[in-house]
Amino acid sequence: METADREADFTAYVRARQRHFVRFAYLLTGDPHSAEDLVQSAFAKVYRKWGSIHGSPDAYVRQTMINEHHSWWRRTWRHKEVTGSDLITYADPAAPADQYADDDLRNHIRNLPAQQRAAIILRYYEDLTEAQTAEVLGISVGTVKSHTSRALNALRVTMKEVTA
Amino acid sequence: MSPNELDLRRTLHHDAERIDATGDFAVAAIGLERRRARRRNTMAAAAAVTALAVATPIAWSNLGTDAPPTPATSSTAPVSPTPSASDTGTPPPTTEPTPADTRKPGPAPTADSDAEPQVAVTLESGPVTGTPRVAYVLDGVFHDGDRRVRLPVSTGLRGVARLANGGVLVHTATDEGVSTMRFLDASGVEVARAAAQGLAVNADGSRVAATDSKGTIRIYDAQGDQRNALRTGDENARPSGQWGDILYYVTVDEKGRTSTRSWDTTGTSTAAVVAGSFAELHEGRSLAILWPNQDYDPGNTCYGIFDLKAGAVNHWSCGEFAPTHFTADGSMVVGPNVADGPGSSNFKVASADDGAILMTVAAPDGAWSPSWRGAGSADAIVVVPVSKRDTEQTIASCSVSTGTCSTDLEAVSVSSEDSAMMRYPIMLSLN
Repeated sequence: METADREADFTAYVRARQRHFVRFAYLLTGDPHSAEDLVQSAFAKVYRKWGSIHGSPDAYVRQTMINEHHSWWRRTWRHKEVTGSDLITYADPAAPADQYADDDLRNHIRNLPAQQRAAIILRYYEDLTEAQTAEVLGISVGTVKSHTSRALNALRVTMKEVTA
Repeated sequence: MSPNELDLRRTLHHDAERIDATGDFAVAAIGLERRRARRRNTMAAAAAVTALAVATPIAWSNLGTDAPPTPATSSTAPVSPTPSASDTGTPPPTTEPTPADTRKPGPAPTADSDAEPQVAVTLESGPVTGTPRVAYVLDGVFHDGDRRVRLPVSTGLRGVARLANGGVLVHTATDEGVSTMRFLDASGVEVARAAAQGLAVNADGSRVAATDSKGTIRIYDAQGDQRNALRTGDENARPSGQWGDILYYVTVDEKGRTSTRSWDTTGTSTAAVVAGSFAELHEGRSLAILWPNQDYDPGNTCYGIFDLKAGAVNHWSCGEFAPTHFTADGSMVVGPNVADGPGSSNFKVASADDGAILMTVAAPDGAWSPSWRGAGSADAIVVVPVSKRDTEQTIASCSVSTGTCSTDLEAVSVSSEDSAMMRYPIMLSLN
């Protein structure tokens, strides 16, 4: 693919999917600025490989973001490669019917260990199957089941507390 | 999908709606990749220069100008795997992983940490047949042999350690991230308190190193009296461990790469030691577990055993294994399978001398452990498994020489609330 075609193709894809992946990144990182960094870094890597990606670009982008985010976790400290950009807006959405339960659950999800959180997000935000989630995270289906089971157990406790 | 799953899904989507993409990520990403390409080209040129320079007798890992002398390298001298090529003192080649990236480290590592173990055991719950070989906290009480010390904190406990004067060091953190350490005397009375974003305690508990939020490292004695301080200028600086009067600490550069430096705590002199960070030091054997700067690759994680006296890596190992601790005598290292993620109960024990895998410890499916370490007898590791249903926790020990595991503490219940918040009643001491 010629460079100009490659850029046009890539740009069209990113513009169509950036909102979704920014939100996915926000759930993974829990922080708007980290989400912006993560998406930009992942898209840059995807652009490098754009001409050789076969199959769904979404799966490729998702996998790259998961790898990148794990890389940040492994290193403990993250290099801030992107500075001064302003590609996102952040606002509190309208309160749901049961705001307190929602906040409790959201806080709980954010406090989960990184891999458990990623498993939950892939299963219930990205709507991947357990097998697909296991493949993306490089773990067994049993571990995915274990992660989701723990989160659902937590949800039950949280809901019980809020309604008590 | 169950009602709970629907609630989870709804909450995630509602949370995600807080953020929106309003700029052009395509333009930003293309620009970023071009900057990266320029950097790769620069590094490639630097690497070519380095290739010519390796013929000179320079200790590859010794970045410090006043570090201990290193032995002459031989044809079997330790070779840094590709991810940590920055150990040569030159800019590293790019190692950015992508899903399609199947590249392996260039120079062969000296050991494969995925090799078959000599011993494979499985943790099983059962009657108590041993005694805890390491100090621990249970429900707010510090247990050290027959000694009991009630801790003055009930929430936010992050770590505990034995102090040389019989006291206890208690590390806590608030939800806002404010970390504090308290020095308790032998009766549990607080005698000193200080900020501690990062913390390292030496083996006998006579020295505590802690960083504050501005990157100043302070050395304290067991009474909590400050003995010396060093301004690192890096708010991310963290102490790694101590070897005699030398404190090793890690800093991070603008590219996110870690470097380990040494500080002679009797004065102010510091020196660069090696790229990467030390997971743990063993003072008796003068060794450290070195984690190189490596992008995430759960199937090919590398570590090195660093000789503190020689200032060089003895050997590298690569695979799914990422050791975090030494056994008591420093002859082995223990840690989880990286591919299993944090909290894994699938452990490995490897020789610290050559990286050979000596034992694997598997937990029943679904069970896991929040902590582990080498302790007690020379070849034992101690883990605190949590039952499959998160309802019980205990302490277990496994021995390489016997190839068996024992349950060392009567299982204690974990409430559903604590389980949900990943708060568990047992915490192992740092030393």
